[in-house]
Amino acid sequence: MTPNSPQNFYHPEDDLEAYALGALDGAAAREVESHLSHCFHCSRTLAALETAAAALALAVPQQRPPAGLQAGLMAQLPPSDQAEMERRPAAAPAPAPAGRSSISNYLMPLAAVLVIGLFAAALLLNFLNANRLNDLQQESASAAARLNQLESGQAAADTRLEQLAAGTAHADTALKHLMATNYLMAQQATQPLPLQPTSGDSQSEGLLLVTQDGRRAVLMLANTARESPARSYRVWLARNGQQVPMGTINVDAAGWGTMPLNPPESLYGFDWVNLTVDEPTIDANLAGELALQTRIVSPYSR
Amino acid sequence: MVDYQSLEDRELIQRTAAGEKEALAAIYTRYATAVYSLARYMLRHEAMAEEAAQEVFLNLWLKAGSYNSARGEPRAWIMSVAHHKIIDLIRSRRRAAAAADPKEYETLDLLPSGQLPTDEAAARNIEGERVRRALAKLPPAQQEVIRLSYYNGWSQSEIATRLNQPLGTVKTRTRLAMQKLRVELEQDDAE
Repeated sequence: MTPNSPQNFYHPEDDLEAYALGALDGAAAREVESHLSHCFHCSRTLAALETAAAALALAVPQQRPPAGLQAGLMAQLPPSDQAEMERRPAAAPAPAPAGRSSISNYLMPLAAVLVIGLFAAALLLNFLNANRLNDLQQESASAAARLNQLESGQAAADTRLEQLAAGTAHADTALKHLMATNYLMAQQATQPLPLQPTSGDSQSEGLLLVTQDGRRAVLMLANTARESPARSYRVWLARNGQQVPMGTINVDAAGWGTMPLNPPESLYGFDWVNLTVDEPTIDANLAGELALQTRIVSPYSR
Repeated sequence: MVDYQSLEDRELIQRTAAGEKEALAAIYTRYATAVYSLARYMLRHEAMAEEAAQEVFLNLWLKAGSYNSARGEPRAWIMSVAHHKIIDLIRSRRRAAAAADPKEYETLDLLPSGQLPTDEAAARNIEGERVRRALAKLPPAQQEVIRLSYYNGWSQSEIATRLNQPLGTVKTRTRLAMQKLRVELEQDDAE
């Protein structure tokens, strides 16, 4: 990515926590690294996160490394003079000392002509080499740019593949839930219990389809996205002021979701089915804000 | 005569970037135990941990020039370089195992069951105790995300698959977990 490319306007702030934890896939991590190389703002944010991550690193049981490890490491480093050569541009060779010889005076003009001729030839070779070097540098830059483009394309393809894999897994789960729903609906003796939103302004809808014995049910939600950004709700069975957690129902971007329920005993032994907003900040054993509920009415009590 | 052991990390990194092996040796003296311990803990394999530690310090030798102060304190940067290198090794090991024999994938599963085994570390050093306290204040779902990603090297999409959770949920938990961990550690520092 070049400093002027449009991608520079995108700050991967949502990925920095995952990057600090090493939780990004290869392609996504490379994108973040590329961005960090020229974004001071994101580098600073990441610095604070990496301080926390470093604390995690230092929290594991401490063990001294084997004694020979350092010697092995230092042996793998290049020799000092070689390392010096690698880090510094090559020095120009020292000019040969101007020698004074015992050449006789009559040979001096010939030697001068030879020196001038050699000097001219060296100049010509130098000019040709400079041109060739320039061509090679241009070719190298072009190849590097092409390689960069290919790497960017590969990274984008990797990201897309990961997104597709995640989408497929989600679709698989949704399909299983729909099959369970179909199976349950195909039975004649199922009872629909409509879920009501707790807020009067809400347009959320829901339906709980319960088998005759109350041992199985399917929960379906619709239109929950319009008033709530929540993408999942915790499901509870309630009676006598106590609640039993039944899992989490996920909804899609349009607010639709389906979830099979397998209660530990007949649903008709409970009074309410409650749905509360699921937030990762809420402890798994606690209920969040109540969003939808239905009163459980046994068909036998009608 | 330069006394490398007395220099600060920042200067040691600069001198390493300039090709001074003694500076890298001083960094090694300071961080070898931390790096090797992390590799040993994550890889669960002594020989691989040694190889990983060597690669980490060779990486520092090569990458020292890329360090800049905007990337934060040197200790965090050094441990980040180490952690990413170890993660690379874990993932290449998993890929190789999965390609060789699908059954091996599970055999090489590095997940320790249950809670983070930081109790031993807590007994050994103050840092471990401080982090254990901070982690304990996170909701269990967020602790789990940190454990699976940082210590076991799983990516977010792999975690989503393993936990049968939407990727978006895992991403949200990751962000909240790190933000809360930061706050808890900073509060602990202030106290």
